[in-house]
Amino acid sequence: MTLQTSIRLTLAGALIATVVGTSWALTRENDAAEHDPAPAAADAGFVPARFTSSKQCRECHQDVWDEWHGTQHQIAYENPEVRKLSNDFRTKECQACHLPKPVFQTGLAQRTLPRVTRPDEGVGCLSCHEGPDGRIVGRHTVDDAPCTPIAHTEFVTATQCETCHNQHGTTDQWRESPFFGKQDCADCHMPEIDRAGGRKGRSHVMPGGHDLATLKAAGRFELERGDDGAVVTRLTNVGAGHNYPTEERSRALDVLVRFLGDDGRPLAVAGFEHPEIVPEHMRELEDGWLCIYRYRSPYRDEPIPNTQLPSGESLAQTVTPPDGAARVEARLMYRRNPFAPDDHPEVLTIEERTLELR
Amino acid sequence: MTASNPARPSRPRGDAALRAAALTFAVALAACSPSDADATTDGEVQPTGTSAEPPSTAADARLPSVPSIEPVDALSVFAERAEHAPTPPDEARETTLRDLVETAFLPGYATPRLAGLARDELLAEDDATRALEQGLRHDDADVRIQCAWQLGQRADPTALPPLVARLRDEVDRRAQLWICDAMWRLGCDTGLEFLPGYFRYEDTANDAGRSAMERIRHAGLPLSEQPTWEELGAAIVEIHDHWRLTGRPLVGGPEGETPHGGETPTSEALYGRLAKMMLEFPREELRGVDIARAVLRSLGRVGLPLLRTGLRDRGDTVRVRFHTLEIVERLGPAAHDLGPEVLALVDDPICASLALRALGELGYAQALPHLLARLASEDPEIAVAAAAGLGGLRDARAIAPLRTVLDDAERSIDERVWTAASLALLVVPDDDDAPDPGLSFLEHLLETDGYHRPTLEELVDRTKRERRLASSRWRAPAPGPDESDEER
Repeated sequence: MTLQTSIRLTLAGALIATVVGTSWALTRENDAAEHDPAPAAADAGFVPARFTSSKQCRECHQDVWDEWHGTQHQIAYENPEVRKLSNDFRTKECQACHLPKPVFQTGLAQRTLPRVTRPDEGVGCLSCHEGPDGRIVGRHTVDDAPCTPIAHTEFVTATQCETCHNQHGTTDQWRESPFFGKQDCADCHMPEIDRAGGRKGRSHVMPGGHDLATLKAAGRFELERGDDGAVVTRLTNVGAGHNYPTEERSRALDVLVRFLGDDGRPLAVAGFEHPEIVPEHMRELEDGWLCIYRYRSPYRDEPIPNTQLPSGESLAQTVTPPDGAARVEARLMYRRNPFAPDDHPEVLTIEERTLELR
Repeated sequence: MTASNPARPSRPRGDAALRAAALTFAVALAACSPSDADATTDGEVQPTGTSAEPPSTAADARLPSVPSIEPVDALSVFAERAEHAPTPPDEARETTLRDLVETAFLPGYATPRLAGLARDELLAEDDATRALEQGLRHDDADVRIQCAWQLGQRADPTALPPLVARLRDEVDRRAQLWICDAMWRLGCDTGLEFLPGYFRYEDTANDAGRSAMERIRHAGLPLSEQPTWEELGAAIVEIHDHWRLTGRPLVGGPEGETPHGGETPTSEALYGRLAKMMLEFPREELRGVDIARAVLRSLGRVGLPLLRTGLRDRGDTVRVRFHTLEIVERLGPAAHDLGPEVLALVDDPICASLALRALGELGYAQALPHLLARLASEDPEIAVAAAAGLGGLRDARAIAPLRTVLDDAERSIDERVWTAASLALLVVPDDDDAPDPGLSFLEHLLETDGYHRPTLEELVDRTKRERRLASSRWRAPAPGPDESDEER
């Protein structure tokens, strides 16, 4: 027997003795525990069971699950638009918000950090409801609920939302807006609703830039004739407590106009100087449409100014009608992808206005 | 409603203890008998001795002890070093330098004679490097190309961070090529990954070929008199492989012909610049963090001293060590020296899962028992990371424990998927009829829509790519950054 073999056998023997002893001790401890009454949650030393999936929440909260399932939060990591823009999340910077660890654990008012598991859940129940110590947090402490949620003062506040939504400045925009101190994120995006059994709750649909009604409520779009005969379009951010649009890169809000003659045919507009923010290929579109303004924030080092419309503010564009113009039409279009053509599913027409010029 | 994972009912604790004991035994044997792993005839490598099973919760208290490290206040260290970063020119000086750059390099802006004079004047300035760095962001691609070329000739490695950052955002293929060229001349071979991709385009092929031939000569690799594109591509892949695995440029050409001598570039000004970027880590918005990560993970061993400091940080914000860890994970084997610091994070509440993955990427063999022990963590995020880390280590002693997890239907689907992916890297069948448990599991899930499809597709692709690379270096031209740059 070599020295090495001898050492291995000695070590193995010692380990077997340790193992058998430990197993016996643990088995005994287990037997004893089975005869004890279950410890109360409030007992010192209670270790809360850890939740590992939103599917566990569904067992009691099917209604909330149904609201959340299919939303942008749930599909955050599988949304084809996002996967395309993030090169299938090889752009790692996107993963932290699209597949976040529980934000109470990674720190409120700080950027969240990424996880790997449960990719189908995206921003799931535990992303917002799993507390710092693994317990469930909510608006109220409920001792007799199976998940025994505890109230947290920062729950459903902007501080919680900003872990993801300030990446492109949305929460900071809100802090500078007239909404600050009056209404916060949840007031618009998670309104109070009545649930079965007379309970009050907050909607988990969380509508935003993918919802036409929300987009319409954000802005007031006007088309009018100025004193000098020019046509004026005006957009006022009346309903968003942040810029309109907010976020960056993939959001653009375009103002389009076209002039029609007596015969209903589009007329060419001469001499209109497009602002720099409108890309060359967008300036003159099909059927006589002109894109006269774009509200958008630059992405990375794009050499364009930030033209998003802050909350409460208004901006007008003026176009001189061509000779023979009988009517002007205007559109406000929202592009979730600024490079998408008008007929793309990621493009929504939010408002349409018509003004007779004769 | 119960608080336990429905996918994995609690096991009787006595059973858990026995599982734990079995694993402890296996780990101890594995640790003391590294030569006991034998290859079987079907290509699967089996450890001799007992078949190891992972422990359950009861064993968590008996995890292998993690070596401690000396904590540091990284942000203070970074702040101190950042003082050595080059001072950017003030506004007036910036305007003067921009005029010089445009006069020298902007096509049609000045007569050839005036442009030549401006270039000579610019390059003679003390802050010429800063002016050229500014020029990397000029609207005109020709200006950016000229600035990149000049930076490559100046042997000043402090230009590496802006070059790497620019490559990440650059959309002009010719400018990308010249940035890659400048980077290798300054001792950073990260851009070589893309160089063969430029062979395919008419407007870049000749310049890319010349750059490749020069780099190959510096590396000391043989080339035929009339090398083919394939030959150039293969040699560049070899040089890049060396860089990826060691974090050092491959050199061996005639003395005096290697611009950087093969040494890892160091200078207080360069470290100052990198330290300044790392000061961004605690910030809420990601942009600065993302640039810092992209730069540091592209510089091979250059950033290791700072990264070691970042990993040792135990300050109030976890983000310093977390983002440092992200860089280290992506550096992989080139950051192998940081294994002890990474290992010290495997019990960190936030960093643990990333640390376990990183240990695999680093190929830090000493991590094996720590990874094996965490395979059965009750936290799926930890168990998944341990499985992924074991795949990275490529140690045959992990096969049996991974197989046990894969075959355990009580484990969560996340754990089984990532375990299968790691197993597929460790058990590579010799022929089509041999068992291929890891890959078969993933492909079955793909066919049956049993898991998140993009994740499955990525894991299957990675498995096939790694297998191909392991059998023989893949010679297909790599795509250019515009097609594959991860940050795009």
